[in-house]
Amino acid sequence: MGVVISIVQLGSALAMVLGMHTMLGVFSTALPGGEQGIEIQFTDPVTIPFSLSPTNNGFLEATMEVSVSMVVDGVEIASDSEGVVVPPGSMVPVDLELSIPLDDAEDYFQEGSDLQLTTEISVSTLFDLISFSNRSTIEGGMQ
Amino acid sequence: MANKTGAIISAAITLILFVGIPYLLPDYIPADLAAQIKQSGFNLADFSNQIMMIGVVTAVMTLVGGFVEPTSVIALLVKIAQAGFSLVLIIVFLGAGSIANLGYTTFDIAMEGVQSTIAMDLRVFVYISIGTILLKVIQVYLEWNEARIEAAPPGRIAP
Repeated sequence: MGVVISIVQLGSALAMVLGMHTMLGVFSTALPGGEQGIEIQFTDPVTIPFSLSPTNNGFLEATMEVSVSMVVDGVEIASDSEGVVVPPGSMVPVDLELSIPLDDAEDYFQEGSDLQLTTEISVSTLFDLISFSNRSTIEGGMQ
Repeated sequence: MANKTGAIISAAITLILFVGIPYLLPDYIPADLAAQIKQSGFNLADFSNQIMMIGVVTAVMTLVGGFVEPTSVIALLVKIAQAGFSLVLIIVFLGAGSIANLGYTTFDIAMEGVQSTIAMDLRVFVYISIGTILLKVIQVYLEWNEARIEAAPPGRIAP
């Protein structure tokens, strides 16, 4: 019985190290780096693209779900989401886009409106048994 | 004699790992990292105190376990308590200092107009640990019972 306990304990410790390495690695590479800001393309409709490039340098397959939404005065006006599977040793690009009619956008982006941009990145691995997620809300993010 | 020496060495190592290091660690954390940890709502002092308390209790139990008769009820209770405290230690670690989290931890960070909520779900390792500790308790009991039977005088069954 002692051998079984030791094997299970060692196995779970190894799984935790590998899982954390994969999860945090995919998450950190998915985040936009440097001073990269949000670029609004003032066409009709107005579009706000988001590009992520999660890279899995770990040893386990990871699943990443990304969602982005814009909320004005408490009402969600645009959202997009995508889920990808990132195999070990590979990079899977994720492109999201918020699309808003030009007339509406002019109202939303004027001063005084309560605008929020919410992004949620969730990474799970080890057959989705462990996960790491980050939900960020940027207040008045459009400048 | 070997049991007692082993217990003293084991208790000393436990004290160094779970009391000495957590006690000294805050002094070696860079100031900016310490500020970020504080901002996240994670109470490092509380976390260190919990680890140190578990360390002291575990060291005391290791000492007691080395000095009592291996077939006594106290030896059995000490070993079971040690297994229990190792489970508490794992849960405290995985729950970032909170036993009630049971491996599911959330942090709220507010920085430069950005409000972030970070969540980490490691509950599966808590469940695995509970399973292995239960097996460990069964093993400890079976070994203690076997030692008691072996220690009984010939022709007598241990009570």
